[in-house]
Amino acid sequence: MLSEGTLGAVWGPSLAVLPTRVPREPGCTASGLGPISTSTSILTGLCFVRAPRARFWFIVSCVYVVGLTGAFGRPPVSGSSLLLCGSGSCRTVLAVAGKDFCVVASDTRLGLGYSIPSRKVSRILKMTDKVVLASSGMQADMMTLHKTLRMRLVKYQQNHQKDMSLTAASQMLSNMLYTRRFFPYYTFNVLGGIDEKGEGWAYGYDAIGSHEKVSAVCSGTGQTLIQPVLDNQIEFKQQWGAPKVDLSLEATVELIRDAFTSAGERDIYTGDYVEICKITKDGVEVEEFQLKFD
Amino acid sequence: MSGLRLTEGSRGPGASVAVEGAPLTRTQVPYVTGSSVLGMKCADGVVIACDTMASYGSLARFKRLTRMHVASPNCILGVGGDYSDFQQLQTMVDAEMTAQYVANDGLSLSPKAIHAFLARHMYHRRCKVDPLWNSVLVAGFHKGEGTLSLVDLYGTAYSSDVLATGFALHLGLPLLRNAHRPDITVAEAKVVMNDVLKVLFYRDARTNDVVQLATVTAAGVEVGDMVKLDTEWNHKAFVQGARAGDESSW
Amino acid sequence: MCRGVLSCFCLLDHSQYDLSSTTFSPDGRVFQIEYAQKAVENSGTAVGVSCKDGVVMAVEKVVVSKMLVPGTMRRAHLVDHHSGLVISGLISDGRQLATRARDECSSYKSVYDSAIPGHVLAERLANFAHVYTLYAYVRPFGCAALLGAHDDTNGYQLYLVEPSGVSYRYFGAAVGKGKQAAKTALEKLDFKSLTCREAVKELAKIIVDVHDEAKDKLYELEMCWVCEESKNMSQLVPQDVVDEARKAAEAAQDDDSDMDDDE
Repeated sequence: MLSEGTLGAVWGPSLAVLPTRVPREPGCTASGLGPISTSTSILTGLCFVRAPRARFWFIVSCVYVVGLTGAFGRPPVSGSSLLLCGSGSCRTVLAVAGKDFCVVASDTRLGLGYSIPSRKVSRILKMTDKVVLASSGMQADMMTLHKTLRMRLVKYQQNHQKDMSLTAASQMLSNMLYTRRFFPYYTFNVLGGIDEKGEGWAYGYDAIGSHEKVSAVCSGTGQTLIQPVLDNQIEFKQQWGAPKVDLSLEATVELIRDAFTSAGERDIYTGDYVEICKITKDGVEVEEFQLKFD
Repeated sequence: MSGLRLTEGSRGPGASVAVEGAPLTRTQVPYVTGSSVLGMKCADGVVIACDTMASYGSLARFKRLTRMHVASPNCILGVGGDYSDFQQLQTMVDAEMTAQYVANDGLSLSPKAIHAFLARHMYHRRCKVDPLWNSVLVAGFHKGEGTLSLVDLYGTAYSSDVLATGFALHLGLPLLRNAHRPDITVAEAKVVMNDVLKVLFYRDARTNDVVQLATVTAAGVEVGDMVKLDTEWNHKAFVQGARAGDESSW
Repeated sequence: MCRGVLSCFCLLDHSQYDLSSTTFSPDGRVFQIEYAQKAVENSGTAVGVSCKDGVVMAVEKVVVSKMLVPGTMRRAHLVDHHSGLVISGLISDGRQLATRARDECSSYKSVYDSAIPGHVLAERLANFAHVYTLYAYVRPFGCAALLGAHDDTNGYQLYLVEPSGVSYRYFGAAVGKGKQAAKTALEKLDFKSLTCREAVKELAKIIVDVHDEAKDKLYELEMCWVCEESKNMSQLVPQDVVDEARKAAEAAQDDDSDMDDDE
């Protein structure tokens, strides 16, 4: 699976959607770009990325900011970004599934460079009483995605006279992300809920809809810190021979709190507050706890 | 991509740049720009503040321009970023308001609706890769409560008790956060704003010392006059440096 | 050729020339336009005056059922902050005209950053209506619009835009069913000294008087003004003001008829 973390790093052979402008010698027009402005700009590329597990090529359009100043009125800085990138990226989201429950959580920090424009921006969408979505990545894309999803959910409810199931929601999300295959929603989603059999499940997505049904997944800047812990504690990875036990809801929530607290210590983009949605057969219960404001 | 022909001509780096073989690109650099905007939500309303300069790169090009726009009787915008894009926004918001007026159905757009409207438009433009290069503070008062939210050139949209854009995101926001209390009054917040604007004027080279404050309360929008800041350049740290032995000023 | 049908039409006068607005009759008339004007003449009366401190328009909206919610399907429309219009004729054609007027206002504003002057708006609306008299695949508008506007240069203005595509500026104008009687009544007014408040009463009186009680029992009175009182903004005249004027006019009419009975 691809994630926000890895996207930045994978610069594949670049099929430029928009030109990557680098300073050129006068008269160097071989590429047809010509000697234009020396202020460079977007690094937007279509990168071919080999997804580790999946047996096919993903083409991921990735967009990356370099040195966004955040302040206006400065002369264009060499290397300052163009536009496509996410300002105000939302950071860590996760979903952990239990036997008959699922917990979806996210921090609420809105980060922009080294600044924190807002400490409380929710990125969780309660899709139905049994399905909850959390999106990391670009806030504007996230908002648009959530708005569109809300509309689709209402339409589904009206057409079918029932709420969308977890599996249906997971597929619809994938489809919606894929409609923007060549200009993706810069969002990295995790979806959690209870399926028709009453079992809890989590789904992890990349920006363009590729997804995987798992029991625990984390996305965003805290991913590298939290995912290994979830692998170990939920899936009992690396615990050779240890009996696999199902965590209770309370224990899962405890684990998630610890995970966020730890990620908040090491990841500057994770902090402020954590929203934790506990999804059980009785519906969704939300609790919130504070992380450090630093 | 080669062989792609373009129709729009080249008008410098900020305008459409047509280079044969390269895709069409639009605004990549703002030209005439306003600097920071500040906003604070108070118990009895909302205050926003900004200076009145629009710069052309490092040139202090326009020094008495308002960067505020009254959207409705209970909503005001404070705008930083490209000034022509700001004017475009004004036109657009006014047209929407006229449409509301002529419909004459007794309905009016709430500040929240105006914010959503701007957010959708800004997001749409960034998806066209032709963004309106602004960040917009939307301050309003609706049903007995103040609202303060922001939209930027990407369509990022959120609300908060204190907001700042541009340079003030670095230098002003922490000061505002320290000063904010849930029970702070508009009158108190105005004093805070003046202080923060002063700090910004001392350190942000794209700012001038003529500022404008606006409030939105139950009484509606009130846009203040442009006021010259009382500045003080003889602070010890300015003159002698921050630490003993420093050779230059801080 | 479908001779049966055609020959049937041929029995009538000018029948060969009235099916399309693209053909003149031998005596130089375009019958389709005249029929469109007929549609206006069948509709509730609309009157307007441009007076001392504003421009006021009133329209008699005949309603088809007692059960209609008052105020639905308006005939009086605001088109910009400074202009409004009332419609006589087909209500839906009129809405089209109002929508176009709004578009013209906003497009003028976006180009010139100032409000559209009344005569420009009237002319653009007239042009719009005129285009529908030129082609075989469209029909002319079955409505006329009384347009009231204010601008700093020309002050308060009243225009009448007709289906033919003409628009004239008036001190007082009337269209619709009772236009003859209404015009006669309008001619008695002194537009230079009349205030809008008085005009509201006068217009209400005219509408009440020309209203044909025998034919259309129910009607609403809609009024729109642009005047000093409304700070030169277009406004639907406040309902209580309209109601009061109508009540007074109806009372006066009753008195008159009582007197008539006495004689």
